[in-house]
Amino acid sequence: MSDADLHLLTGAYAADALSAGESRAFEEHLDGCASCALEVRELQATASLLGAAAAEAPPSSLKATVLSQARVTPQAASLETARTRRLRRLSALLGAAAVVLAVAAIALGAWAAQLHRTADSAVAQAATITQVLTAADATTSSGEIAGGGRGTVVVSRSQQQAVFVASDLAAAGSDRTYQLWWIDATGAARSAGLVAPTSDGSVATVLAGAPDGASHVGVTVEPAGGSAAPTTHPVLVVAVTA
Amino acid sequence: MWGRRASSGVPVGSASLEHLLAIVAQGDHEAFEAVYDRSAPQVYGLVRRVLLDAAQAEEVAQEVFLEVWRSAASFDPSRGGAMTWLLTIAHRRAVDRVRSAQAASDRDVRFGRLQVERDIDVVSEAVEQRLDSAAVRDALSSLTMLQRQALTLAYYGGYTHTEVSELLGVPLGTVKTRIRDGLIRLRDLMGVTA
Repeated sequence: MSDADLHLLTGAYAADALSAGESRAFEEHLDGCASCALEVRELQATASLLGAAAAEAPPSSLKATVLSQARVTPQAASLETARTRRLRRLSALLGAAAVVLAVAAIALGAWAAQLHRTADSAVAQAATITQVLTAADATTSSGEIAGGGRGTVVVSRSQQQAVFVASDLAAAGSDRTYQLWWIDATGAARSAGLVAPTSDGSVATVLAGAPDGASHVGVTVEPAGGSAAPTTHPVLVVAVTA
Repeated sequence: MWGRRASSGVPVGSASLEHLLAIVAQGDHEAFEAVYDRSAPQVYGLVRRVLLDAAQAEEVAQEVFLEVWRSAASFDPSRGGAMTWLLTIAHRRAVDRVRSAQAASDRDVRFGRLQVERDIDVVSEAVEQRLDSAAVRDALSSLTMLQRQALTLAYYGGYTHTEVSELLGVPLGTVKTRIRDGLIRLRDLMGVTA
């Protein structure tokens, strides 16, 4: 493609109307073409006015989900000095308590839904979940779940227990269930129980069994009733501290 | 229209969206909430317009705000305004979703329906009638019919320029220039600067 042709792609690029391959090629051109780069910025600003004109009130559930996900999501590293990194580590330590509280907030929402269904077991679980989340040695690890949603595992070695919390989990499918696994350093997996998300995709559940030598917690999709060993590729694996 | 509502916190309430993003880049959740409050209708509305489906729009809007949270440090105010940055992320993610494998079947239905109806102007007029901003609506109505059709199918429909060319039955080169000419005319009419 000649340079003259490339210059004409500023509009299609600003409107995201190029294929992925065309887009990459045009971005290489942009690096060396100041006039195209300026035009792209202007046309992106113009396109965003088209975007803003489509404004519509979002569902009220969106805000709480976004804010609680941000609480458990680390930010991408920017260009920082060693000094600010040290400060950040300190504030991260202070923030750990806040993360546990945010996870607890999601968990509370999920319990409320569970309570309608199985009041007795939910109450029993609730007491355990509170113990784990408030344990002095509670550690939190999170990851994106393949297929949608975000999962967080909170482990307390002193309590010898762990809690799995997730939001926006997709339905596992008919005749399928999510299953939790304790995974050790050799890759061996022990079942940690089945997971049934509420209708809004939230989950807060105590893992069956104790962490023992587990280095990771995984989640797979299994046939209804669960499996003795994982039969599918995990949709989530997070490391848990020893 | 950006300053819809400030968070209850006094400092973030009066800050510009650009300034708020700089505070978000420091890991500040209060500033992030203020960014959400000021931009959620625009982000969600745009994503919804492209995806049509409310449930998918909510998922993608979540992804957009998480990306905003994670990558706030990469926002560079010298390269454009904060709302442009937010809506560029939102549009890109909406388009990625609509072109992804899982959306392919829905998309075939939409694509096929459009091809059968061959009544593209109905689509772009319907889009325009639903737009909130009179300035944008007026500016769009001053474009030529082909500029308007190409631009609205690409931007609100999420179609690639190749697909727009097939839908409208005009050569790809014509679609490229019509999208660009249309945006340039809107830029000039609305006095947009980078």
